[in-house]
Amino acid sequence: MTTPAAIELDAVSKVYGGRSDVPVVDTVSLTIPAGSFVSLLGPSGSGKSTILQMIGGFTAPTSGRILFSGEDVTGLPPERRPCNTIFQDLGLFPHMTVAGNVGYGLTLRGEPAARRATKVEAMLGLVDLAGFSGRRIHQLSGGQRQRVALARALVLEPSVLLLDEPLTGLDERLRQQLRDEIGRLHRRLGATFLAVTHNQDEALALSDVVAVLRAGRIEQIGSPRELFERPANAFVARFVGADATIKPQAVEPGAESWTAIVGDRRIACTPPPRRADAGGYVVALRPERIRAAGPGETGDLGPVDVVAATYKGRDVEVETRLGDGQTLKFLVPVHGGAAPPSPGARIDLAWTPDRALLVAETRAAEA
Amino acid sequence: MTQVEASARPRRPGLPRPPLAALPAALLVVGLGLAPLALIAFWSFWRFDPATYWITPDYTLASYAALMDTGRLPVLLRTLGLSALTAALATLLALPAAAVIGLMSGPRKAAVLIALFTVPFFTSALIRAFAWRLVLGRNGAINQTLVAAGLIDEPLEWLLFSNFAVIVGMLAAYLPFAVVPLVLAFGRIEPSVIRASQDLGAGFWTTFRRVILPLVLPGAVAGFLFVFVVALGTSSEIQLLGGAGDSSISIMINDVMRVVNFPLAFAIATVVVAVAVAVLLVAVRFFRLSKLFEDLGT
Repeated sequence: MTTPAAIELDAVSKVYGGRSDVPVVDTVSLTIPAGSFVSLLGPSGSGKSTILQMIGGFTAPTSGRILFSGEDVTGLPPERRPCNTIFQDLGLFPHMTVAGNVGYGLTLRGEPAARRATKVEAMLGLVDLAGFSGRRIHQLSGGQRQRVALARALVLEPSVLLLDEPLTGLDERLRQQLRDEIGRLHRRLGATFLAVTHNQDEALALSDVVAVLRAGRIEQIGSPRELFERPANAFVARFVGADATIKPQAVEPGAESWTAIVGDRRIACTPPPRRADAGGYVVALRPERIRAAGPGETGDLGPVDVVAATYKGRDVEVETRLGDGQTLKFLVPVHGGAAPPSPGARIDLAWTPDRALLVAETRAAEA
Repeated sequence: MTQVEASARPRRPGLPRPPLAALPAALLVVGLGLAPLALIAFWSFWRFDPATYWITPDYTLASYAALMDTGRLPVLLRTLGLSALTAALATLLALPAAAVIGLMSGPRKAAVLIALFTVPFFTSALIRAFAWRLVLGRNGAINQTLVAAGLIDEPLEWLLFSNFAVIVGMLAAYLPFAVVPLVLAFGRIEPSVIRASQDLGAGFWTTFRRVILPLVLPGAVAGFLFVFVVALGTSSEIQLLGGAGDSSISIMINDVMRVVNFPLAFAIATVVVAVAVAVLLVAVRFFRLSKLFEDLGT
């Protein structure tokens, strides 16, 4: 990429505790281009929040360097870093009004009162809170508080905005609304946004680049489409949406296509992006692309026993059991025409023309 | 964006309605607190005859007049001043202590540290005050150390039997009353609030002044009031550590009671209660003490 890097992590590690225990963040190197929206996606305990805290300056890395626009800020306290943070629990000042909160950073910068008021009003308008400046924080709803936190950080025009689980704790409707607003603010302000989340929908919808983390290391980094269509391993595949995976008895390498053997079926798969170690390979499928094979059609997999069918609003989730005891779930759209199979039925599954992905079960990049 | 959540506090299910639930506490407060005070105020208006020691229900302001003109007012004012000074110093001293306990310690450590502040109450006020004589006296620990270190030639006289000694004694005894409400106030501050202040460009002192101090102010005022009210009733520290002839409100009440002038004793007590209530009302009005009991943030 030719755009300059807003943030660079250079082999950053973090170890808590006196002894050299398992690192929370393990030699992570990451380049975040200026103006981009990057998400750190991972389950809790993957070290994503710690990375954000180290970038914000609230936790010092055990080793490694953090650079902002090429400048080493590793030793700088939070108040001297050119970034602002939206904290998971926001950290709004309960003793100040909305305007007091939003104007806090400007006051510290010595902005004259009149200019400050203008900027605060403009920013409140931008986050849809015009007319709320005199309110107290405890008079606001959850979504409104979230907006105050956004306004308070963005009014300082930071080159980098860090968002720690920005949508956690909001109800579904508000999540989507705020998610869209964050995306809109990013496009409009042109600042670099770095978000931490455990929610793949959020990460995929907002980000230019997503880094998937597990146990303090980056499993894969790429565009949402890359992650979705070419997951580097089973962990990424499961985390980013292909949570229908089966373990084959054997795989046969090929030039353009590998073959996975499940039961007596030979499943043609895309070749794995990385070679597997002892963990072996996993066949990853998209639950929404699997269907029950029609009468007379030979499916890609089967026969399987239907164990349960659960209504989920838009889809019915069908749980099936393979001959060797593995379970595989897939989705049947409620308004798709075909009725979902009933529990107890024995069916064949098909996903052609979609292709199954073959991915390594464990991290095997070094192998 | 028009939805505004109801800010009313939800009532916990399973509890009786507030008026009924408050009944036992209300009975206690009225029976053990308000009723005796009302009686004292009532009797303070009766007449005392020094010749016969008779007390008659005459309804007069004589006791209040006596309070004003026989040198008792200076004692009253001096005790009020000393109590206010002690309360102010205790609040200042409690701030850093409470910050360490409330902000930087985990719950376990905080419990241990708070428990340590109850040590002064392990002994009686008399013994506690007397112990300070051994520390502050002519041949006390401090003077001996200072002389031995060559910092002074003669023992310092003002260490003991002085206002200084009285304040030291009261501070040692009453500091916990200032620490506990402040610890609670510090404990209510969300760590992210402090981080947010730093994140927005404030260094430590700016954060302390603009965010932390305003948030713990109700706790500081509550601590000040506790120490002030308790110090108003002090006698041991004044008798054992104060200068010759030093008096205080409670010593004065004691003396008056000894000559069975109950109306005067009650008049003094009534004035003290009135002052304490007035200070409390001012504090509640101007420092929003109710914040201590309000859910901040979320």
